[in-house]
Amino acid sequence: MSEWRVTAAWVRATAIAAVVTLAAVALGRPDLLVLAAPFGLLCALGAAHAPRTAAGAKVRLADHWLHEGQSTKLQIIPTTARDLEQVTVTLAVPAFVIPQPPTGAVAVTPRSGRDPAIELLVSPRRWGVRSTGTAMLAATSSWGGYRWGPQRLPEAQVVALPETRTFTSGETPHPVGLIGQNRSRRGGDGSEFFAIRPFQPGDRLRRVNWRTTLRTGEVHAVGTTAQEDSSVLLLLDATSDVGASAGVDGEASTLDVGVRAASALAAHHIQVGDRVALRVLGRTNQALGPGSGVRHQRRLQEQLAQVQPGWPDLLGARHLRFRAGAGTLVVVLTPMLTPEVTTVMVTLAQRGLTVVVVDTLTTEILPETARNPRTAARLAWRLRLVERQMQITEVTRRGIPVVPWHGPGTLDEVLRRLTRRSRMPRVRSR
Amino acid sequence: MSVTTPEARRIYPGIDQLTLRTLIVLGAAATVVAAQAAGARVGPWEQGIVFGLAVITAIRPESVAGIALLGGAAYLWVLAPETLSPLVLVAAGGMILAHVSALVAAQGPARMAVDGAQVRRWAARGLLLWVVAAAVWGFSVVLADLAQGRLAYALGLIFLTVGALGAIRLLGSRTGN
Repeated sequence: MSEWRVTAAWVRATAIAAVVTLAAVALGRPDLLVLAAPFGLLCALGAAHAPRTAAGAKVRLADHWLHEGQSTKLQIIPTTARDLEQVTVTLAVPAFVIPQPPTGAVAVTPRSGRDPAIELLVSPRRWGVRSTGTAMLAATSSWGGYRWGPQRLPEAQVVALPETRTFTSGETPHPVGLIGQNRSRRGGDGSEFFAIRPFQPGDRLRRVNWRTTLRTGEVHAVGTTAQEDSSVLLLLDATSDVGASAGVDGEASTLDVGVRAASALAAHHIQVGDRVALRVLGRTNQALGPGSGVRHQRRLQEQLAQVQPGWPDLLGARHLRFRAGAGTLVVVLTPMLTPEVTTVMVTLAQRGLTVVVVDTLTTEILPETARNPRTAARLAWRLRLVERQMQITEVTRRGIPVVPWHGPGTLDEVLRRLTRRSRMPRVRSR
Repeated sequence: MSVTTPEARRIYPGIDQLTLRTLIVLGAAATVVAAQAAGARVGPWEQGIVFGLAVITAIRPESVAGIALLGGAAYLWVLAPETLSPLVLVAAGGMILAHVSALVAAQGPARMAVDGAQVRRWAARGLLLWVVAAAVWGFSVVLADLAQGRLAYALGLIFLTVGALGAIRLLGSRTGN
């Protein structure tokens, strides 16, 4: 713990007062006393206002969870305001955190009767669990005689949830639940037109189609499709993170694209009443069972915020249990650079699940070494991209669509085609 | 693999910090000019050293250069032959300005915005300190013509010191309450 110490200014004033007074006496020069007197007074006033209480401070963060790009208030509250004339706080922020003011340094003069809290704004620019930075506090006593600190204060942590951009997509191909907004293959009490059929007990009178009834002489009603929810499994490939990440308003790496896309997809499907599960293939290996509702969405975003790139302990279709029921739509977010992940998605497709791949690696994301013709790494990257292309070809050949992520409507066309395919009659070989 | 792009942020001192630190050099310059006006023969080397110390103090206001700067400024005044010239008040004002500016500048890193409340408070205190210097000079001028000048001067200084200590005690207890 830091303690009060005399300031350099007090030492300077004392030294000048003493030396110049001695010189005035020795040389018999009263004019030197004119120069020494103000510094002597300053030295005496600084000593007279020596602090009597121990100083300290606590750190308070207004919000511990926020979305990347948002900002929150970081308060530093000195525990004693009695002896403080001036308080300075400096904040050294880590990567992907921006302070406001941008200098990260604030000086405050506490006023009597007011809480001497010092406020800074901190804004995480990338998803993840981030420290708000190292705050150092220094306080000066009255007349600049004594200083406490600079004292390092405990760091606060903030969970930056991934940004959730508005996302739209088509219906899921296999709705199986009871409630939701996906059109079912069976008739029911929905809003989408299905067929005009003979009146059945239980049909509402306003559903009677009078034109057909008069023409056929038999009461007919308008039939609608039932609306159901479906199960969606988001499979995030975090085995590698390619490209430079510059935060929410800069370049995005493959993992940035994957995490943000997963967050947007989860938000969309939860909003339409679907059950969404998450599985991360990476060092952190997060798994979250299917669920719906705002709370589940929040849990899912928290899991996404804790994703770290790296190789998992076990990666293979035999070791992984996805607990995905029949009819589950599996959305795999991957840069298609890991053959094991490709094997996993092919295995899931062979089980009869609908698998859609969202490609998170675009040409803009490629690292600089992959584009620089002077480096040998470019050749390695070319080989890797050829392998990736082979994986994409293999996956597509097995009926798994691969689409690059481009925000709202990314999956529209794919899901529409899959829905159409799921409604077509199938021939099964025995 | 993943690469984090470093944030290209470099914060330079604002105009307020530059002004504050310029005042340190200006304070030293005022002392040198006052000494020369009072008849001191200040060589270019001596001037150069004082200005060099002023620049170092402006860059590092907590360094020992501050003590050397004020000591050097007092030394330049000693070179003046006239002992009770009113120009000593200009020299005292320059030294107070340099000291107070360095004190406020040392309250935080150079990139920090200067606290306006602190500037106002220390401006008032600087003025008070200069008034004290002016009081001591006036006292010296009055006693210089007396027959028992040295005795009266010593007694006067003792009274001034006792008075100052009493005022400090009073101020300290009021702040404590």
